[in-house]
Amino acid sequence: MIKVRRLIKYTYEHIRRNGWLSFSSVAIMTLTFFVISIFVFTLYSVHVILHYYESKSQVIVFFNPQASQTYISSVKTKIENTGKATSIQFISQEVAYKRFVKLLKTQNPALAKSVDINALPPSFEVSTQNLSNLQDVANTLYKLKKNSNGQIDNILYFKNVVQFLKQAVSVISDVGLGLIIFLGIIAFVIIIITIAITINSHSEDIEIMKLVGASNTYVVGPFIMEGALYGVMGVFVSSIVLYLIFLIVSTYYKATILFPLEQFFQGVPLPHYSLLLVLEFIGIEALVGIIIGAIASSISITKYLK
Amino acid sequence: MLTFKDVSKKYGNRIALEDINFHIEEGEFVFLVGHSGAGKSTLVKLLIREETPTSGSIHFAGYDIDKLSRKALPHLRREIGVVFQDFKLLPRKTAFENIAFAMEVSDFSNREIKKAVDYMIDLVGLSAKSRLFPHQLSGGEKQRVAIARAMVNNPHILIADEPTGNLDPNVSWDIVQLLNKINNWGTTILMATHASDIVNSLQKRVISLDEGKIVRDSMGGYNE
Repeated sequence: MIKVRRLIKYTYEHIRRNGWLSFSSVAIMTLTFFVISIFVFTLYSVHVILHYYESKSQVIVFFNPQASQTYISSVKTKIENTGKATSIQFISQEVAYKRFVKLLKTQNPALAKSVDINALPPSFEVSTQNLSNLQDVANTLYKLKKNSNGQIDNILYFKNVVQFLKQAVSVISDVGLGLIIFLGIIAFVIIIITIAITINSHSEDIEIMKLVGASNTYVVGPFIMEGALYGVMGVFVSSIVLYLIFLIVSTYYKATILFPLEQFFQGVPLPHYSLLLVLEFIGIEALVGIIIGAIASSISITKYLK
Repeated sequence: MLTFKDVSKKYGNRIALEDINFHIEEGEFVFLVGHSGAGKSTLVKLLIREETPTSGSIHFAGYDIDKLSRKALPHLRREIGVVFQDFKLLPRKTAFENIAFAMEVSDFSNREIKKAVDYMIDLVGLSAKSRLFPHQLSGGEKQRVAIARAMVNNPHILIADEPTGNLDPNVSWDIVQLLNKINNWGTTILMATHASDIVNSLQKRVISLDEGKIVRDSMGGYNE
């Protein structure tokens, strides 16, 4: 206990003596974790949205209106046999007609009346868990089409839009990760320098500490604690700043920012950030902050003691 | 208690100490004399393991100093009190805190520290100035604080490296009297100096160094 109390006392003395330097270390850590938080939350949101679009994307197989019921059933069995479809919905000619009429009623009532039910093909709408499964199902269907003697009329598969989204997310992820690593390295180096300067201003103390028989652990402790503290402070300050920004946006910019966003993503289940999830995230960040700070200061002090 | 056996120390081609052999018994007061560059400071550095000998061995209170591991070094340092010419006090700590510092690193409780520091500060005659910072103390007072710090862990030996080098003759004499008093209570003292008047007046054992070699080891005075 006495050791912990002295560790805290010396750490406090270090930080107090290098006021501005400590401030700049906390500031750079704050900036780092601010950017990390924004990127992680953005990427998480984008992944949730993308997953929604992925699960919503379908491959549609249209049958010739003359296709036999037996053949249509056999196609369904073959799709089921791939094991990759999460839902296979049969759209009969009647359902297709109802949809068509409903769609055209407001836009072109005259056309809606002229459509013959027999002109509309029955179809299967197949959904899968993800895009690669969808691709597999589509491939199976293309093969079936070749030998279908015209019973399969067409296969509709909107892969390009989703693939574009996926690529965009992957680029954003890579850029984000790169930026996070870059900022992380800068924060790491700044802490090494800060602690090196702190050590310099304490070189006399360290010399005397060693002369009177202080162990290396005793000398090193406050410096490592100082680095870890910069990390934790950076995490907490950035979390507070983010929370304030969130508060301001949700209070004053509801109409100009939030509402249009909600409109844009209508129907998409946006990710829900529960308090527990946010706290967990801050906890993980704090741990990362402690590790970065402690390792950086260990490097500095170990180098000095050698 | 302290034995130097065939100890030599070289820095590159320069010989700082050569074939040093001596033994100091517990309770002795020994002067280490010689001109600047004779090897006094190197000998002190070897003793507190700031340097390692090029050859030979150093034994002190059960420690083989020349073979000491890095981990065991703090324990050795707690057995040896050291006083320097430039005091080496922490400027941002009071006299009391400077002395207490030496006990804090040995994990003593606050109560133990207060008791021991109060006792030591009284012993060196600075009770009234324990709350003052080094810049508020005179040279002699600073050296008293340094001696109190060196003694507070109750070391086997007190090494004083030119402790009067920065002090007026009157003050120097006070400091030597204090060291003599500490020696009379049983602590071994090894004092490096080139102040012949002090050595002559105390008439203790004198080890004289010249160009890294012991040229004399006997009781009595010293002519610079």
